[in-house]
Amino acid sequence: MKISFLLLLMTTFSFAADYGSPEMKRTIGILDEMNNRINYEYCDPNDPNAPAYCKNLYEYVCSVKKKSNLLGVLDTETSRKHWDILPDPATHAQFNQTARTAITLSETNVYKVTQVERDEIRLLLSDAKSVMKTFISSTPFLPRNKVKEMHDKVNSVNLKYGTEYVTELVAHSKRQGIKGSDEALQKQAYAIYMSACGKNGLEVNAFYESGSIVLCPGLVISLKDYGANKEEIKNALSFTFGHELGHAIDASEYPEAYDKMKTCYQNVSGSQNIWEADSASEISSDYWGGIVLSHRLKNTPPADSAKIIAYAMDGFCNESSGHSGAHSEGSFRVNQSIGKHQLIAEVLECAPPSKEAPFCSLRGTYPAP
Amino acid sequence: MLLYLTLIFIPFSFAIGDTSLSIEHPRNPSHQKDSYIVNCKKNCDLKVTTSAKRQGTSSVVTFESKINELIAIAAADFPNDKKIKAHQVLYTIKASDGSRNVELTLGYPKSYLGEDYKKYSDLIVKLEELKSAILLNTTEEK
Repeated sequence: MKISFLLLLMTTFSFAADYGSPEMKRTIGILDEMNNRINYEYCDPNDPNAPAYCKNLYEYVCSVKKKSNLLGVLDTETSRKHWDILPDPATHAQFNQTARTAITLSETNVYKVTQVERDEIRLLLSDAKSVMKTFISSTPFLPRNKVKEMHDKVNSVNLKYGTEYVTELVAHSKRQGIKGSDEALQKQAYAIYMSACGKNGLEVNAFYESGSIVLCPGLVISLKDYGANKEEIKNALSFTFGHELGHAIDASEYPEAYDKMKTCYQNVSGSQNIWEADSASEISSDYWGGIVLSHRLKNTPPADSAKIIAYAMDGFCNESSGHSGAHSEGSFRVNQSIGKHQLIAEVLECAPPSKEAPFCSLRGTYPAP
Repeated sequence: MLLYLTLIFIPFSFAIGDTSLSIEHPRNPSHQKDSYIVNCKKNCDLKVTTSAKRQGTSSVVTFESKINELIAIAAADFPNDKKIKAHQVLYTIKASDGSRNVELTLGYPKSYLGEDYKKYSDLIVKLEELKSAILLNTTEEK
């Protein structure tokens, strides 16, 4: 069934893009490589000896615990060295100097501890974009008149580090005609950055906003706390990038593109509410996160892949990651959006989607009921 | 009878002059939510839930004026009618000075334009001051 799906993808490739461009040659390569586990022998989920991650991915993910608290130690130390000596009251200039130093040093320390270079993170985003662009251009299940727009939207997303984001916000303030000294505008910009990333940039958070992804360095070092090595950290981050890029083209942006996915999720969950605006946005972004992550893990042994999926799902097990209004629960997102994702099932060598446990994708319910 | 009196008394005890604040901050991609809660009567009870849990108490003086300032900014025609997508929610805030109640959902900054951006920035600065004060007056639970 997978062969036919990929053949369908390949045959529809021609309408979407220029075959001859170097980028398309590269992305066609990626698509071919995706197709490398067609004949894998998957485990029977009813087999008592099946790996825990094939039986219940959410339970497995929640059983993987952090081994250290590097993040907490770095946060406390940075606050002690910089914020605790800030005069009260502080001038705007003093505040900005402290914020700049604390955030820059945190970033430097995070990339030193994890050994992940900033350029490697940019490359990771670029790879995630390539994988998504390939899918967008090749899948026959997106509205044709939206393909180019979605492709270009993903292509234009860039990554902003702390000080870059602050500089951009100051420019945004000026464009809005906000009066005030540069120091005053900068203080407001730092406050906004700190709201999302914490005063030292060490919150476990990332966000997509108006064509940019901001990755708080806290999210990177939190992966090190699982004992993850450099490659594992990069692999886990690929889910974050896929998910955040997904927000650029999620169900709130292109509802018509996800009509079939919506029906599938409503049937699978037995609830119309599953596709309320907010949860639809998260679930559709998880779909892209799953595509990017599975591509990164295509040559990783299943047990190692499962571990990386657990790192990537950091926070999904927390009690507070559940419903608030229409947000989808962590367990549903892990077990259904990720666990039943056909490409994730492949890298884990777990049972492929079935009529009883289908995969909800752009093409709808798979396999068809 | 006892139940009846209790039912009358409980809402009454919350009704007059109690200052309170709840800040909720979802993180991505997990949607794990951090929360900062202040409930003031004779003193202010403080509770923080982030990756760690923190608790503490503080005098009413420390928080009452800050929360009142926040309410004043929020009450002054803050653009709260925006439809903010879930992944772009930065804060959900509930604040009360006992007579005025405000509920706000704040998004990420670039959707606020012109004068709205000024109000948004002022509110964020005030919220960061409040969060710092809450953290300063709480200790981590063992």
